[in-house]
Amino acid sequence: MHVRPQFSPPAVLMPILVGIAVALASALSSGCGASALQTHARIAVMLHGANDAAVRAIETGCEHRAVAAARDPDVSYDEASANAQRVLARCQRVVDAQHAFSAAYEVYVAQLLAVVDDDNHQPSAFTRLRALLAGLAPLYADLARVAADLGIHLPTVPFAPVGAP
Amino acid sequence: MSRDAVKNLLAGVATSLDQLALVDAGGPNVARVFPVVAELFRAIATVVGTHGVEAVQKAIRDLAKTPAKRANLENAEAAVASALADREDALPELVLK
Repeated sequence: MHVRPQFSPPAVLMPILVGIAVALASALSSGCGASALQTHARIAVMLHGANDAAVRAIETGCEHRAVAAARDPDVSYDEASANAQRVLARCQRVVDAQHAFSAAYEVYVAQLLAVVDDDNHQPSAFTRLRALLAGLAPLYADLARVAADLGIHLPTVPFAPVGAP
Repeated sequence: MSRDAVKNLLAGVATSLDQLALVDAGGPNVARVFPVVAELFRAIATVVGTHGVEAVQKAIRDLAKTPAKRANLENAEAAVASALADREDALPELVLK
């Protein structure tokens, strides 16, 4: 059974993702204080939006593919049912990866909130903030990879600058 | 990110929204993407609109109160069950129900 990929938001999201790239690069060079806090706030909001977009793409894409498998008129009922269940099983792996990313993102936001609540803005807090941000990159990459395996193309979030020295 | 860069970013998003509006009749996928972009646009605009430290802190506090969305397959599973039940070769016992 071949299911044609139909949900590909990256093109329309590109202007936003360019903004994320700029923001991430800015975060690397940022030190501490209000300016760095503002940069991280922007990144957090943008990642929040990217996560929302990913959730919609995953749920919509999975439903479309699973239903297409269930409706496939070229196979028997049993075969269609089995195919649909296979699609859902693959979708579950994507969902698990998305949950891992969103959980890590919430830790990042919690640390951001901790910085806000600390009037002294300790440098170590910003170091931890940058480390948490860098840790989001492989999780999103894993999410995007397993989603792409299913034909669901998530917005590209260019985390590369985070890993730069 | 400078204010000019932010303005350019927002202009790019606005252009995308305009283009989407023009082709919105093209199919359901475009219609699904549109609110996603619009939502992101509003989110960015919210933060871009904040300037003072207190405003940034408020934005962060608001963000922390909003749990990140988790995908789930409940709708997909229900849709599959419905699609299978609607098949002409659906099992008789399912049809009788």
